[in-house]
Amino acid sequence: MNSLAMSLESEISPRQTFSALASEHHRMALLYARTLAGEEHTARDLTQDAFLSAWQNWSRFDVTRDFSSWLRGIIRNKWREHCRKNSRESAWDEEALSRLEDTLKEMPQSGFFDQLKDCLDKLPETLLGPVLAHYYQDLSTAETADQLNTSEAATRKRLQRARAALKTCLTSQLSHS
Amino acid sequence: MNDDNFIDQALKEHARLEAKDDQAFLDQLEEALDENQQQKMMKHKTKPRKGRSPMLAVAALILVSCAALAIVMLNERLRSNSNGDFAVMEKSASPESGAVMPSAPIVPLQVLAARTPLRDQQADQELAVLRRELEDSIVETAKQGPKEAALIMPADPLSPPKPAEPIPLESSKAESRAPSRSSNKDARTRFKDSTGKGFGFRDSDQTPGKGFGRDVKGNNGERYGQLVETSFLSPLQAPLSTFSTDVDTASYTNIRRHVLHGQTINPNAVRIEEMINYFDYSYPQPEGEHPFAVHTEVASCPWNEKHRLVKIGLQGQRIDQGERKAANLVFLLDVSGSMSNADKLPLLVQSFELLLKQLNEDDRVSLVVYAGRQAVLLDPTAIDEGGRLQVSKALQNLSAGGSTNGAAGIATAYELARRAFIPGGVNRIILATDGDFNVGTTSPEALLELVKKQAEGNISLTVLGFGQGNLNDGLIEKLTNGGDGNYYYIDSLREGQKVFQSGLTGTIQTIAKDVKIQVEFNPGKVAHYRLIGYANRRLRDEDFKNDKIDAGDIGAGHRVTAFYEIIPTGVDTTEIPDGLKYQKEKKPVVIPREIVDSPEMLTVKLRYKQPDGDVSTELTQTLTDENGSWLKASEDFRFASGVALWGILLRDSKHAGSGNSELVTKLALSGKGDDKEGQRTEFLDLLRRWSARR
Repeated sequence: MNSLAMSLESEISPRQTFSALASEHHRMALLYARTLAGEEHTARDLTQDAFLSAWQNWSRFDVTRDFSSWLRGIIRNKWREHCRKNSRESAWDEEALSRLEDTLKEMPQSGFFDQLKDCLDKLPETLLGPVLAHYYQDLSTAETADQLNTSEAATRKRLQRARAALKTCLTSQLSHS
Repeated sequence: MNDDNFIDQALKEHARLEAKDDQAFLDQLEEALDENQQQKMMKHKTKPRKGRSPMLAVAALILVSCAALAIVMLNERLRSNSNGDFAVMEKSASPESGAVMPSAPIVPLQVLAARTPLRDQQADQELAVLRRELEDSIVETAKQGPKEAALIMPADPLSPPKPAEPIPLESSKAESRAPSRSSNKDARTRFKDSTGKGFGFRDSDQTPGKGFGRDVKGNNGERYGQLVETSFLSPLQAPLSTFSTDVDTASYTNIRRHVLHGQTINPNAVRIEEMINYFDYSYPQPEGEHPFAVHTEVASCPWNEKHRLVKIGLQGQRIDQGERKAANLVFLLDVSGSMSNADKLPLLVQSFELLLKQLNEDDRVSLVVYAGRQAVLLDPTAIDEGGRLQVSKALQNLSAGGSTNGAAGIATAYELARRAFIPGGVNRIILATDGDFNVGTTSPEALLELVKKQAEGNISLTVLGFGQGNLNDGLIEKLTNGGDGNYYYIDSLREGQKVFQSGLTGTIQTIAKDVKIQVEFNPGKVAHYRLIGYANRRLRDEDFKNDKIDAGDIGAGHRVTAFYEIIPTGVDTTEIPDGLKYQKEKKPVVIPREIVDSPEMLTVKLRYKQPDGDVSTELTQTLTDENGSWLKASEDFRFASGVALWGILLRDSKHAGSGNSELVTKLALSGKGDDKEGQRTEFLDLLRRWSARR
């Protein structure tokens, strides 16, 4: 049972409900903001602002709707606002944003990172090696290539294939569940 | 752009925290929600709604009465135990109200009343901490004399709080996992691995960003950066060892406070180099063109007789008070609720008064305070008679309350420092805090960026850590590391004197910046070596000659001491704890280089820049081992090696060999010397207390 459902069935204050939802969704919200903004600092600010706006407009939230997609909508608006204010060109056009939204709807929102780990475990060795070296040992693609005795282009390709495989795995996990 | 970016970011995020909560983010969010709620309440207060139930007013009245009763009771309790020290707390009452009330108990009650759901789970624990802090301050106050008491060593608490259980460290997985690359180019946290190949992050830098890592919570919720010590390295594989100097002393003072309070010491609170560098050593003053001299010494290693111990000491040139450069100082004072204890704000005011006495009409002082919002209390003011009075008055009127918005305060302080900038002089922010930067959307990474950028513009940062309970040691250390700064922990007025009276020129005036040390070991004499301490000060070897890479600064008269434990060639090395779980050295690596026949054991190279220079100067010195015993080494060598060994024991290091507290005592006693300042006697006393409690 998620936080929202729990709050409906018990006498938990709105603030408690909201805090629980923040706990449940903050990592995914941060991840989404980082995908849009491309860097950590702006992403954190955007997400903080988005949560605050969500809280200020809590009375307007329709409990039958999905909290995560509502929050993503706020983050998107904050991101557009940020780009306008800073005369910054977003790398995401509306079509790309809507495609990303479709993908995210197919992904598990709760326990996402646990599922990501499960998917990682399922990767074949040839794809897992570059992922571990690049993401988890903090090696550049050149260093990863060096460690795996392969070319940098091949490493980049393998990383891309690994990410595609992870995406497929994550979306199929949701459909299974 | 496509969904690939999302999975890319997801992997980076997973590498950072796996499935755990981003607690820092949640805490920040709760603060923002609190603030929002408070603002709403304020609006409600000013615009009472029609028809609101009178029950609410009655409930509020009851609450206020309870709070007032609690305050009166606590006040009485404090008064019954208090003396002159408490008078300082009374002065910290709200200037607006003019009321004379101890601010210490008020804030915790307010804080607890405003406790929010996410933090409900911690409320009990924090209440216990607050209670303990209050009791500590009462006991301390009762034991010390009115004014002079703070000048002597703090006495043993009457009934010390029960030693806290050690908090388990983060999982070993966290230690081994490298973070995402991000844009961190700070070489200080990067180091060459033992094979000399590739670079990784260790120490506390476990998260992406700018070197702010996973902090380890210690006693009372204090947070420490996680330190990973070096193992033995072979000069055949890694002939060079490079590190940045560190003149901070905060770790020792913090450990002293823990020992005096009978608390367990978190191994991550122990930075051995800061313990060693706390003490004065009788290194001769530099002669000639360079602002400091290098002194080296080698003897047998007291905790492993087969090993050798090398001491490298730097002595910075002393500058008399009369020759000190004009100073533009901005006092940035944390007056948030958490600073209200007797060992924080009142001690801070006393310490700053000491500093004020040392300044003259050439110097400028500004005063910025920060809590929920920042405020400029005093614009840059020349310290003539009128100015001195103005600053003193402003200090005396300080009161604590509200939550901390450190980031906004720092930005304002830099603005003021820039406005009153003295070209060629000392331009420095002196930030006094318990390190509880917990409000605002600015991340620690952004804060470090700001501090670094300002350091490049010749405004440096000194941080004074105060109090116990929520000292964010890891954060402060990283800010000062990045900001060409220094970090002191002030636990008593005596320490305030050391930093601001006798050591003022060293504290504020830099004689050399970006000071780096590189040692080259002769594989013909040295089979393995290990740098003791400096866990988060290591540099990449190639960055030694790279003048763009930032390193530590040295103040006038400062000393820096480092130890290397050496396993000479010919000594059995099978028992070296290599620290690696998954790798074992197969055979000695054969390198395509010939070992030059030389009697020298090592060469110390040192690079530094003039305070306003951009190009480094290099100094070189060699050391030859005469096979002497530590028993015949200098007093400084014996004492400092005792301090190092205590640090090794406190860190539960596997490199302690036959070392134990008896050996530490033996070393410290035999190296005590004249001890005019009483520092070494105090060390022995601490050691006695610590040994007795083990």
